[in-house]
Amino acid sequence: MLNLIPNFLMQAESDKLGSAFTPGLPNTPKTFWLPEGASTIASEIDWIFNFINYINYFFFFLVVSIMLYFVWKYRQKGRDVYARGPSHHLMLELGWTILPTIIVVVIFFMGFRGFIDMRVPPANSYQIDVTAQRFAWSFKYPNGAVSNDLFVPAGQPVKLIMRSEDVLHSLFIRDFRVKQDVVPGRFATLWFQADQPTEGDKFHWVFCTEFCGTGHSLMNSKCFVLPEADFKEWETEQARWLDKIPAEELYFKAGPKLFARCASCHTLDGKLGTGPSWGNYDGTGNVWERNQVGTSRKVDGGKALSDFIGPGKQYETPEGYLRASILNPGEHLSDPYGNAMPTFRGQITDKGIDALIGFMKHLDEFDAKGVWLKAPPAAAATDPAKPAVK
Amino acid sequence: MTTLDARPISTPAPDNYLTHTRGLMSWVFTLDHKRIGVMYLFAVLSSFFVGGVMALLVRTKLLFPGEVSWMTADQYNKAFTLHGAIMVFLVIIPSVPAALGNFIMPIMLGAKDVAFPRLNLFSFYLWVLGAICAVWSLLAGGFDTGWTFYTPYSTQFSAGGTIPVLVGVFILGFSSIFTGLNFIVTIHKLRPPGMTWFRMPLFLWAIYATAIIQVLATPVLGITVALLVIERSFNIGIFDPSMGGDPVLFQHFFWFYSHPAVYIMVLPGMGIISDIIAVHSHRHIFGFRFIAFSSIAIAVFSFLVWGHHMFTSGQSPLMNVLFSAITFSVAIPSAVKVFNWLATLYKGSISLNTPMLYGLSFIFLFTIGGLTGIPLAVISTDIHLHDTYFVVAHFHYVMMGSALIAMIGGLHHWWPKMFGVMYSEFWGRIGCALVFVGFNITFFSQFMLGSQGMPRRYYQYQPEFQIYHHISTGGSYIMGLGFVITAIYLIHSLFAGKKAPANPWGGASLEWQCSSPPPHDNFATTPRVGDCYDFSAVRWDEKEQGYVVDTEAHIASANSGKGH
Amino acid sequence: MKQADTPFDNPAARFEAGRMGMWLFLLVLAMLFGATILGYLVVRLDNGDAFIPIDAPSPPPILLASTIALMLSGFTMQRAVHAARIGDPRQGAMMMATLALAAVFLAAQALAWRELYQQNVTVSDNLYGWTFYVLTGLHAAHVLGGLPPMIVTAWRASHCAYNASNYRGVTYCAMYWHFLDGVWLVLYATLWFGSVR
Repeated sequence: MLNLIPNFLMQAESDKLGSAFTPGLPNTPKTFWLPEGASTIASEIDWIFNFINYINYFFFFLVVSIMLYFVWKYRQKGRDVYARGPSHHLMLELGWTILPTIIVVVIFFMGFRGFIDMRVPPANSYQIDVTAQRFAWSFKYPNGAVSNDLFVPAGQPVKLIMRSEDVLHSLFIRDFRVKQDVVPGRFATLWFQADQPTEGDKFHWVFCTEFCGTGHSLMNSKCFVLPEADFKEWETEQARWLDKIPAEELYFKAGPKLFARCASCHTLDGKLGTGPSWGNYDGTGNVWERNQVGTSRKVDGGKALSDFIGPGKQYETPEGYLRASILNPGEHLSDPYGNAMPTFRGQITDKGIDALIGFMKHLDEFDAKGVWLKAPPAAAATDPAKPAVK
Repeated sequence: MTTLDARPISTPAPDNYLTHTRGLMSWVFTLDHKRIGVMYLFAVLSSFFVGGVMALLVRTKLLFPGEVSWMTADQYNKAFTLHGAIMVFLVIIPSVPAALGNFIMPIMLGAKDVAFPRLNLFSFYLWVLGAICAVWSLLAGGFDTGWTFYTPYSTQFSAGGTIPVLVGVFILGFSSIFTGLNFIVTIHKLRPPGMTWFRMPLFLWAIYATAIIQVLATPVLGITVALLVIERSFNIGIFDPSMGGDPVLFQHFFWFYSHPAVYIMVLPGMGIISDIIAVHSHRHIFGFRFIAFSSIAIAVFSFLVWGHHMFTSGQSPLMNVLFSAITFSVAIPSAVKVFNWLATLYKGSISLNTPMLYGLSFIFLFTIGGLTGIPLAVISTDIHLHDTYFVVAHFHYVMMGSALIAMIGGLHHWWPKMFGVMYSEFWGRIGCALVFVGFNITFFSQFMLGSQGMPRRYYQYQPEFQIYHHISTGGSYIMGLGFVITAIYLIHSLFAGKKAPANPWGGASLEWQCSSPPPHDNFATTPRVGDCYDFSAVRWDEKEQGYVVDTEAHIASANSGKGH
Repeated sequence: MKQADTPFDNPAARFEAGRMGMWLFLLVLAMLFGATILGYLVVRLDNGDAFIPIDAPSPPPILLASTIALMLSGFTMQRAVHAARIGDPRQGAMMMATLALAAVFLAAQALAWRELYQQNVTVSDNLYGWTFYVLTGLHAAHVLGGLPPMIVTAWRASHCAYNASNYRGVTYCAMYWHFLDGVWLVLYATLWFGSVR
C-alpha cells in the first residue's frame, strides 16, 4: 500500500539521478487543507491525511445523502401512520460492523508506518540544543552560537534536543509536520530534514503549542533553512557576532537584536506586559532613569530602588542592579510583578549585558519596536538576524 | 382503557408535581426526582449561558490578530479557561444524566423515584457548591490553566483562583459520582415486571453505560485534583519534576478520567437520539441489541484509549502505537450506531418536528465529529494536528455538536412532558436551523485553521489565519442568535404555551403514558410494560390532540412478537 | 409534609438496593486509592533508591500498633453486625468497642506522624515525606469521615435499634469499615516496601 505514495516514487527517481543533480525533495505547495510541506516526511504525512480525508468525504456524503433521501422518501403522510420497517437484520448489521473494522485496521497500519519513520533520527544528524523558557525559544549550535530564530542546514537531517526551564512547552514546525512536547526534567528529541533553502524573506514558523501562560501566543520563532555553505558561514558568524562589534556601537547594533528575546515580556512604549516596561510610564521615567534616580516602583515588598542602588548599598551603580536583574531576576522583584522571569545566566555574555544596558540608556533613539531611528536608510533595510542568502 | 394509569387523559390530573406542594421550601428540600431534575435543568442552562458568553467574548477577540485594548492576554486566557471548565464540568457532564435523566428515567421505568432520593438531592447541592467554588475562584483572581490543569503550570505559575476551582472540580466530581451510583442502582432494582434489559428504552441503556463510567473514572479525577491542590500548597508533589516527580503522570491521570468523560458527555446524547429517531419516525428502532451493546462497548473501550491525548508528550513509542490501535476500536461501535439510526429512518413515517430536526442535526454533526477523529487517532497525522484548532473543531463537533445538540433535542422532546406546555413549532425550527448553520460555520472553518497549523489557546495570531477566524466568529454570532431565540420561545411557552397532551409525538415508552406534567408519584400503580419501540398500538386521537396508546393491544403485540 | 424518602415499598428490596449502592461506593473509593497507590509506585520506581533520602528513617514501628487496632476494630464491627441481626443487646457495646479502636488507630497514626516529624521528615522536603503523609493522611481522612455515621449507628445500637427485620445501618457501616481495613493493609505494605532500599 505504501508503494502507492507518489513521493516515494519521486524519491527513488531522484536517487537514481545522483545527488549532484538533485536539490532534494521539492517542497509541496499550500493546499486547501494543508500548509506548505517543507520536510522530507511532509509528503508522506500529507498523503495519509488526504487518504483519510477522501475516506471521510465518502462516508460523510454516504451517511448524509442516505439520511436526506430517507427523510424525504418516508416523510410522514397523515398523522395516524404506524410504520412497519424491519426491526433488525443480522447480516446487514454484522456487515456494517466488520467493514469499518477493516478500514480502520488499514488506516492504523498506514499511520503506524509513518510514525516509525518520524521517530528514528538518522545517525548523521546535525544536533541543535533547544531551551524553552516562558515565552521564547533559544537555539544553541554545536560551535557555541546561540540564536532566537532557528537556522538549519538544507539537505541534512537535523536533530533537536530540547529541554524546558519551567513549564510544558511544545515545539511545532507546521511546514515540517513535526511537533514534540518539551517536559521539564526530561530531554525531548525531534528530527527533521528540510531539503529546500528558504528564499528571501520566507521562513517556516516555529510555534509553541502547549499552553504556557500570558505570552504563549508570542512564543514563536522563525526557522530559516540555509544552503550548507551559507549555513556554515552563518554559524561561524553567529558564534562571534558580538565580539566583532566595537564597544561604542554595541547599543544600537547588538541591543535591538538582544531585545528581541526580551520583547515577549517587556515593552519599550510604557505598555504593561508580563514584566515592567522599559519605556516611560506612570511619570517615573524609562528603565534607565528609574534606576539612576532610584525613585521608582517599590521593590522587594515595599523598599524603593534607591534602597538598593548607591554607594555602600547592595549595588554600587544602576548598571550593577540591572545586571543582577538579568542574571538573578528573582532576587529583587519590582511591585506588582511576580517571579516570572527566567534567569539568563549562561545565555548572555558580559558584552551582551553591556549592549542591553546601553540600549536602555539610549531608549530615546529607538522606536517602540526597537528599531534604531538614527540608522542610515540603507543599513536599516538589512535584517541583522539573517545573513543575505546568495 | 387508554392509559396504564386509571386517570383519564383528557381531564388533567388535578394535581401534578409542579402544583403538588407550594412555596420555596417545597423546592429546596424536595426529594422528588422531577423537581430535582428541573432545578438541575435551570442550573445547567444558566451555566450554559455564562459559558456561552465567554465563548462569544473569546471569538470576538479573535476577530483581531493582534492585541485588543478591551481584553488583555491574561483576560483572554482566563476567558477561554472559564469557557472550557464551565462547559465541561458544569454544563455538559450533568446536562443529560442529571437534568433530563433525573426527570425522565424513573418515569420511563414506571418507578416512583430514583433509588436514593436523598442522595439525589445531595448530588444537586454538591453541584451548587461546585458552582460556588467556580465563582470563588473568579473572585480570587480567576484561573488560566486551560480546563486541563496541566502541571507544572497549574502548580507554579497559574493565577490565584486555581485552588478554588480545583476544589470545585473535586466537589463536582463527587456530584457526578453519586448521580451515576444512584442511576445504576435505580436501573438494576426498580425496573417494573416485564421490563427486561432488552425492553428497556435505549436512553436508559445509554444512561446506564454512562453511569458506569462516572463511577469508575471520576474518582481518579477527584484524587488527581486533590493531589494537585496539595502540591500547589506545599510546592512539592508527585507531579513536580524538580523533586523527582513526573508531570506526564498528571496527564495520564487526567486523561484516564477525561477521555471517558467525553463518553459521559456523548453517550447519553446517543441514547436521546435513539429514542427521538424512533419516536418521530413512528417505527421500531433498527437493531436494538447492536445499539445497546455498542453503548456498553464504547463505555468499556473508553477506559483504554486515554493515551491518544499524549502522542506528542514523550510517552514511549510503543505506548503511542498501542493507544492508537485501541483508539480505533471506539470508531466501530460509533459507526454501528450511525448506521442503525439511518436504518431506523428506512420505511419510517418521519415527522420533522423540532426534536427530530435536532436528531437529524446530531447524525450530521456526529458523523463529522467522528470521522475527523480518525486523522487524530493516526499517530503520524495527529503529530501535525495535535493542539491545533483541528482538535478544537473536532471536539466541539463531538461535545457540542453531538452531546449538547442531543441535550437540546431531548429538551424539546420532553419539554411538553416536563412542563405540560407546547412551544412554538415554527420558532423551534427556526432556532434549530440557526444553531445548525451557525455551528457548522463556526467550527468547520476551524478544521482548516487547524490543519493549516494554527495552534490553540493563542491570543495573538499570524494575519494569514484571520479570514478563517472571521468566518468562525460570524458563525458563532448566528449560533448565539439561534440560542437566544430558543430561550425566548421556551420561556414564552411556559407562560403562554398551548396545553400539551400526554403524548404529543406518539411515543410508546412509559413516560408518554402518564399525564403532562406528571403527577407527584408518577404512576398510581406499577404500570405494565410492552415493547417501548412498538408503535403498532399508538393512535392519533382528535379529542386529545395527541396520541394514545392502547395498552392491551400494546402488551399483546409485544408478547406475540408482532409489530416489528 | 413528610416526603417519601424511598421508592421501595418493601424493606428487603430497599436493603438490597442500599447494599448495591454501598458496593458501588466502595468501588469508587477503590479507584481513588488505587490511583493514589499507582501514582506512588510510578514516582517510587522512576526514582529508584534516590527516592529515599540518605538519613530518612523507616516507617515508625507504631504503625504496627495502629494496624492491630484497626484489625481488631474490624473484628468487633463484625460482632456488632451479628448481634444486630439477632437483635442481641450487645450490638451497642460492640459498636462502642469499634469506635474506641478507631480512636486508638487515629491516635497511633498521629503519633507516627509526630515521630517522623521529629526526625525532620516533613511534607515539603522531599517526595519520601510527602507521599508518606499524603497516603496515610488520605486513609485517615476516610476513617475520620466514616466516624459520624458510625457514631449515629453506635448510638442507635446502644438503644438496641437493630434487629432481624432492620439491620441496614450497621451493615452499611461494616462494609465501609472492612473496606478501610483492607485499604490500610495494602497501603501499609506499599509504604513499607517503598521505604526499603
